[in-house]
Amino acid sequence: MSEKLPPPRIAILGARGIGRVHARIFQALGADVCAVLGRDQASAGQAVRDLSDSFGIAAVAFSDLKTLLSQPLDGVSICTPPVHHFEQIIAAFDRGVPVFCEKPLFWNDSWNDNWNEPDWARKLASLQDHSNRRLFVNTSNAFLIAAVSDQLPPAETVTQFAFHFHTQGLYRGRDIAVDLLPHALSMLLGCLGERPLSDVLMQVERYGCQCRFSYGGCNVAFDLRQGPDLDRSLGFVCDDVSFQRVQEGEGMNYKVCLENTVSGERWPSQDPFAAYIAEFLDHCRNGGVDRFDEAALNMRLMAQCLKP
Amino acid sequence: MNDDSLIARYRYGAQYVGDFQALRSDIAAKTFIPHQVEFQPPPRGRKICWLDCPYCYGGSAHDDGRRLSKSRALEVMAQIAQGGVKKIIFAGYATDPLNCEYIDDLLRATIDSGQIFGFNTKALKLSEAFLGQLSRPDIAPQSYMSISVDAGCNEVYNAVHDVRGNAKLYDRVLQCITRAGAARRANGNLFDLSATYLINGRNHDVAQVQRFIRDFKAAGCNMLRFAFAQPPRGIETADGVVPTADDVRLYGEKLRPVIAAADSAACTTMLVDADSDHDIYDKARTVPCFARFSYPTVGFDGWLYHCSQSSAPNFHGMAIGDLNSDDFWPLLYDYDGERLGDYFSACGLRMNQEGCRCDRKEHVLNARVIASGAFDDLVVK
Repeated sequence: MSEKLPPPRIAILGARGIGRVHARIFQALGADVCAVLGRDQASAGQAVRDLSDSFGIAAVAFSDLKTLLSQPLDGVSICTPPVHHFEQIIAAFDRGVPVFCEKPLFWNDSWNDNWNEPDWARKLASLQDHSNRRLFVNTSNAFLIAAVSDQLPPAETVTQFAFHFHTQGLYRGRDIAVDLLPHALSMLLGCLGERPLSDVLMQVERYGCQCRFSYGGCNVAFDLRQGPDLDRSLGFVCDDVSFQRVQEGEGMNYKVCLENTVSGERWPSQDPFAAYIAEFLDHCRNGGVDRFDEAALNMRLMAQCLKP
Repeated sequence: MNDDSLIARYRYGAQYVGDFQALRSDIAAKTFIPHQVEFQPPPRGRKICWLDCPYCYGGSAHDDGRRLSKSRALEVMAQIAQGGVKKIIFAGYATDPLNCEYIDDLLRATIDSGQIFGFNTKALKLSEAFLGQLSRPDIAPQSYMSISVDAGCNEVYNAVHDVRGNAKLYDRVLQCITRAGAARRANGNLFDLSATYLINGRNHDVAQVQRFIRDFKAAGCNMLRFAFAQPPRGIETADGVVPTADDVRLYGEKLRPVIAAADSAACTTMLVDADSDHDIYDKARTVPCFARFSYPTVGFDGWLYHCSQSSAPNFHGMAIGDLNSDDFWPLLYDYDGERLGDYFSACGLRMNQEGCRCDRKEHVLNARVIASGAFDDLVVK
């Protein structure tokens, strides 16, 4: 009889926003969400209480990353602001701990006004070359593509690709693009694969960003918006085929579908978030190839879009 | 007549911490001095205890063969005394403190230092040298010997302790305690001599309890404490070894009047149901854990542990450090005093992962410190 393995021990860095969702999904997938990092002890403690009250998660609170990473962990989930991602990923790699990182892979707020190509490139190279690199970045919406891949036109024939993502997020202006471009790019990559990107036109408003560019002969348009009054919506168009994401149910019981906006026909999808975290947990247990290359490609395209 | 502090201690009411705010300050500044240090003297031979009691909390202990040498043990004892620790408790984690070839030297060093000593033992053997130490006139007040008996005759003793055959171990223990009682009388009752009785399905008979009371009063004990066996860590117990909550109620109703009737000025007899009193029945642990600051423990392998219940090699993952190579105080103070919240979180995480288990004393201490509110901003309740 095989011995039952203990659940993977996961720490959540920043558990009061999207990290709360990470914690819930990790737990639902059988992981032991054992620790939380907050900006201080009070914040971390509040997150721990919330996780306990909401999901019965018994985690402990840390305010110091070094102390947290000195605990026996099988993985960390980084849900802090993007400006902290790089240092936290490196710290985890240095301790040999696999990382599941919220998108974007990393970003400095100052780059919005003062693009620093050497700094950006150095950081990407540091991650790429790290001897303990085991990295997943949450661009999980690309999983949606799998649900309708046989409904899409052949990638090489596509000349128009549009993607919209409207949320009630709190970012404004250019930060909306920093927050949502990774999703848009992961959908593009899922549909069309890697191509040369050129002729970027970025239009930024308080509650949204429009980004247009040429992608190896395909005209691409992203419509990314965040605001308190927006209806949440995600959809994409490949030439004359159009789908939107539809959620059935709520909370722990929700299901995700893609709906053809013309015919109304629906295709059920894996919950992209859960599916990607499940892949990460499998990687924590069994090793294998990480998702750095995919994350790095997404990051390069993002930098091309956002460079002033 | 026994004083109130003795009775309080045997009711798990010892005041390990007087001022909780001061404790916090002393922890942060690394100036705290533990109320006591518990010492698990290394056992002789490869079988680390005399008995294999089925309720023993140390039943799942590992033994990697390492032992704290006599010379190093005495060095560490001297460090502890020089640092101001006033009390040394000799006990065992899956071991018995008297099953140590240099226990007489450890006791001598404790008394020489003016420290209070305590023994928690089965007392199957007492050497002449040990009895000689017990007869000394310079024993510190509040020193004690507590002998775990759990029976009133040989047959029940063997049944409770899973001893096969007809060995007369009850008689042997009674003889040892009688000799210790004589030593106590010889020096004017300078230490307390108590016998304890963990009630379970094998020994709850009234006549058994009455005989235990009679025998150990006569042996010179001034305290007899009855309690209920706790679920041990990491091992399954047979039926009857650990009473259920219903058993506790039934045995308590039956035996409480018998025990109360035996209480006297010369020998306090009492039944303590700490699990009900403190709502800790079958609870694994109370965290955050403050044991390190109140009663850190030297294990039989020479490692320094948080407490007596986690003092075996299988707890190295959460231990404080190795006294074979490092000194006592540097190890005890080796933590980040400026980030106590993280310290307690890290300890709690390790303890959850290592699966340690509080005894009643530890549950009660941790609960009291938490309830004090002195650490509210550092710990998540």
